[in-house]
Amino acid sequence: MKVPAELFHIEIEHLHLEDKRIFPFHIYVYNPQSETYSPYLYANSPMGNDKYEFIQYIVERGGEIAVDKKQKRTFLHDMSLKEEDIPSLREKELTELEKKRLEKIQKKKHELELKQQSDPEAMGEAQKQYDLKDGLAACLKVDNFLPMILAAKEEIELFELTVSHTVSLAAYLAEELLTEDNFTNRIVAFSYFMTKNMDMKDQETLADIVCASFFAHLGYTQLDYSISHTPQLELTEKQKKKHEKHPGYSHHMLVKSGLEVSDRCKNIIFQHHERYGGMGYPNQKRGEFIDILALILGAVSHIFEFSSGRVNGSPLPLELVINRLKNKTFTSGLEFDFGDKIYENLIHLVNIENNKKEAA
Amino acid sequence: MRKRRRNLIFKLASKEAVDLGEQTIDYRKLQSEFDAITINRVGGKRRRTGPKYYSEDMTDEEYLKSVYGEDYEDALDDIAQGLKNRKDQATKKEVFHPRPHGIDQAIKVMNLYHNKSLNKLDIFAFMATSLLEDYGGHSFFFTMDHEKNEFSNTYSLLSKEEGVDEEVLERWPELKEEMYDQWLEMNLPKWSDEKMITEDNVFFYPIYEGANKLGFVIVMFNRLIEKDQAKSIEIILETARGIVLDEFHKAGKEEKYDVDLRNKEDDQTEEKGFFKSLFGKFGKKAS
Repeated sequence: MKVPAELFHIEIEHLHLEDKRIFPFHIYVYNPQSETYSPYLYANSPMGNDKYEFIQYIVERGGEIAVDKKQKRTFLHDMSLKEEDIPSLREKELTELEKKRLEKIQKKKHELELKQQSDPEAMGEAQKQYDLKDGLAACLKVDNFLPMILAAKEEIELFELTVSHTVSLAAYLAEELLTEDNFTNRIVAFSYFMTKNMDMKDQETLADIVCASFFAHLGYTQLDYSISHTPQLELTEKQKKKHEKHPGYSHHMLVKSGLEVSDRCKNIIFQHHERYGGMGYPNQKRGEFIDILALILGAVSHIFEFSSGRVNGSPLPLELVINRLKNKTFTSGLEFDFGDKIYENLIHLVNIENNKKEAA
Repeated sequence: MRKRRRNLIFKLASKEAVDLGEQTIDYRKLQSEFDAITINRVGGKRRRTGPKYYSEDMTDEEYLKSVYGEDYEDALDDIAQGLKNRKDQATKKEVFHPRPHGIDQAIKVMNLYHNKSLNKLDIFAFMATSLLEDYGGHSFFFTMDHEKNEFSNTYSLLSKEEGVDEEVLERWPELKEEMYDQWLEMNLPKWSDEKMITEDNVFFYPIYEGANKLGFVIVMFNRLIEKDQAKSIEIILETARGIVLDEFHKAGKEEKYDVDLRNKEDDQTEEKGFFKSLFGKFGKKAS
């Protein structure tokens, strides 16, 4: 007998075994050690004394009794019970947060349904995964990353609430902060989609990169205000040394706040200026000792910093920055050393036409 | 009772030995699986100390013994607890509530730092508005004035701002006059009501670098602040550090890290000031 996909648990008392020994539904037992279900008694076959004693033994050992959800009505009717009498059938009371999340999901479903009614082709579009390459091209055309940011927001704010603190925090921050086109949000959205592109799609990993992208530059609020407004190549030695402390200051802010966030997220923040060849900071880590997510964040924030002129004082369109990375065109302040994986994933985002643009 | 049960199960297993193809339920296997679960009986009942195996080759017990070695007997409790935990986790799905502790506001301030079209006062204005809207806090920022070489009130909310409590603003001149000298000497963040049971609480937040006070912020509240909100307020105020540090450096000052407070004459004044701040009158409510 195949074990059904969905079962609900009952107590041994619900079977009224003193009075009844034949049931119109199958009975299963749950083993908490192996976390598996096994058939115990077929419907309409009698439970003899031996099986009666055995099921009591099983329950004594910590096992549990279960019934197929498809046979719920049969069970309730035959045992003269209501759903409220069975704890596992009672509708779980949702927290406020879960209710809001459910509302959001239902709203999104409703919007998709409306879209489908008005335009069946648009439904297909709505369900498609966000394509980073096409999305980036569209954003670069008008120098507006809001569509990418909103696409990221739509996905991240629906992360599950039952995975970890970091995942819930990522969803909250996406909902609160990914509402406008700014420097931080560009980094968050781009890093998020690039991580997905590199086949890291589990919510914990994505939440780590999202939170780290938000927190990595908090340390700037602990440095002289003027450092935020001075190109990095124009910083004095003293200012440069202070600037290199910003990952530590970001971490300090997190510790001071008492925020619950994963160790991996904290590591990404610490390591986002480490470089593959060991020439980064603060610890000159190299190669596989650097978390791949730190390399992603490091690369993404660097290309946006360079593009906005924060590195050498001269803004440059992002596609040209990626192009120069691709061609390894030496430019003062432009870093290349993010490792092959990052390099390959970044350069494929740039079209050949951009090469011609640069040449022109 | 256990022996009878064992016998019953053997009977059960042999009854079902007739091959019914896919319809067969292997009770012997079920037996073996549930026997491997260890139960501790506490509260005076007899304690079972070992799993019972009916499988012929005893690999399960051998496996556990090989895993735990000499600690096998002692580890049985851990195995039982592990089972219990797995069961609890299987039935419970914890909801993780996001608790940003002010970091979301700190990120917004950080974004303002990056925005070249804004100046420092815009950032103070944002922080002040944020504290007012979320906590009923009326903020007064003090930074180093490099012309006068003393702290001055660089920014505070005006009465025309939306949501500002006029009564709080009216209390400010008196509070400042009474407490200003003490604020100059105080080194640590301090709530006028540490127990957080009054609505008109006042928070003093100094910003330090090394042994130097770069500036400070006074926040006067008109509503009750919970203890867990205090942390968020500190985080928001901490983001002002970059600005006060900049003003401090512009005033030609350099932070010191290796100041010895014991030997110098004027350090005794500092020490007095420090003790004074510990037992000072700051606990008085602003009237």
